[in-house]
Amino acid sequence: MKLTDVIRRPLITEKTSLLREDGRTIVFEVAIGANKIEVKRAIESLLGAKVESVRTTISHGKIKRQGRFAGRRSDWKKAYVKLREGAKMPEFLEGA
Amino acid sequence: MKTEFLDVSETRKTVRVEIPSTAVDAEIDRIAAEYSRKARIPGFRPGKAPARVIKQRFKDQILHDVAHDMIPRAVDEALRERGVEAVDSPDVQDVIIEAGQPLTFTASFDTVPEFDPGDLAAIAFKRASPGINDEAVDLAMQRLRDRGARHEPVEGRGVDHGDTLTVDLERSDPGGAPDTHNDVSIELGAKANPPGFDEQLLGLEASATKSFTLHYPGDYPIGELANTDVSYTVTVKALKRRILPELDDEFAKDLGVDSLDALKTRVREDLEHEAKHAAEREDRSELMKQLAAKVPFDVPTSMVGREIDRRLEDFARRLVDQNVDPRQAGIDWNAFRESQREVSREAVAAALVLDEVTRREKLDVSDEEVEGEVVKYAERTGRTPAAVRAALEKEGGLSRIYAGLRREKSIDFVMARATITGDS
Repeated sequence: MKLTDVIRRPLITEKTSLLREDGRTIVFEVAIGANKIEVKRAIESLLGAKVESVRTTISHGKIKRQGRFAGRRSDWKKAYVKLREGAKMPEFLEGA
Repeated sequence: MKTEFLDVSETRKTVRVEIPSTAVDAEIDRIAAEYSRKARIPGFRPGKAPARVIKQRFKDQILHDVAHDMIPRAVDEALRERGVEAVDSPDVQDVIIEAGQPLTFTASFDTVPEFDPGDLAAIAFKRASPGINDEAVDLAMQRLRDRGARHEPVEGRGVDHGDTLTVDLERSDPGGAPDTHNDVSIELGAKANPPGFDEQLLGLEASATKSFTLHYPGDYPIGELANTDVSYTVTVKALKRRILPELDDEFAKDLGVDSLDALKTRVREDLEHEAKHAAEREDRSELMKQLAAKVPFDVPTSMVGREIDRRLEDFARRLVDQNVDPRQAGIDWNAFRESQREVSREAVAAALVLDEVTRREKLDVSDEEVEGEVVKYAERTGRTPAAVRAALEKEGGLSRIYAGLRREKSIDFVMARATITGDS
């Protein structure tokens, strides 16, 4: 898997905002096939911040129905990335 | 807040304002807090989104709001500090606004500098005389007679000058299409008749028929008809003669007056009344002209523009009152605008002088005077003063009355001091 394909987008919600208050945890949606090691490499090389740990979780897609047709949203992977003590928060995430 | 005034001309000023970044940031925070209360952002419950998210998401709107909030206030403050008054809302340009940066902009506006209206006694003009001579009365009586004219049938002779005929008329145009009108009234000698038309009809008796061809001259006012030949067939159906009533007591009684002399006095009174008003208007316009000449600077263009707009609107409204659609009246509005420029400039200048006089002499209008005006207006329109007052208050008309009365007062003031010579 290419490193540029790993990170999909940062997740900015009430929960992630709270997590960021420690100054070094950021949360991303990542490719479902990516593992923790790939996420770590991607963050370190693309955002230039040293990573201490990565925890991942798979969110299951909801079942959505439109009348009598039922469908399923895709599952997706979330990665909680903890940066190393003293690492700088990547700039483009600062305001968000 | 830093301000820097620049005089473009005597009446046109610009001011460059710089508001420190701390004030701007405080305002941004305030507006952002307002937004966060209502904003719905995915991932956050309403009102729970942190300020930094709000500021990023609604950056443009917040800056726009801040500018709208701070700029008018800053302009007001700057003008107040300088002690100048803008005649129109200032024109704001070159706004630079950014979080953490000072807010800068330039506002240009028109202002009226203080000036000395000079010695009012130096205004001198001859009062227009509202004189009425006997000829005017006679003329008016003649017009009354014309209006009271009756048509009486004539028999036993041919058509003569001054008769009115009822005819069936068939006209064939140069193109050849015939055009028939039945029972048309024609007055011989009327200016609207085609040239040579009357002569053809002379001597015809009732129920006679005549066909003839008329040649319209090249300079005939109706362009389509000029230089064409049109043939007419006319059948005279009835002949009438216009009878003017005799000027006697009988005639006066028909008009609701007791005697001829009384009628004459009435007419004279009416004419005098009219002439007096005309003379007053003339005096006033002469006064305005002289007042306008007392303004030592160029009248602000924005004021002149507003006056032109007002006049145009007035004119358009009058057209509408006459059931004419101003858009289809075939008026060259741009040319009309230009034609109003000079008069408008004069009117504005005169108004400026009057305002200055009002200010210097501290002429003011009391509430009682306004009340009096309201009562007068109520009597004219047949409503109760309270109703009129309520209606005026609703549309903000009271301030107009104040302004009008103040203007009247200053005109009277100037009139009283001006050197007026006249026959009466």
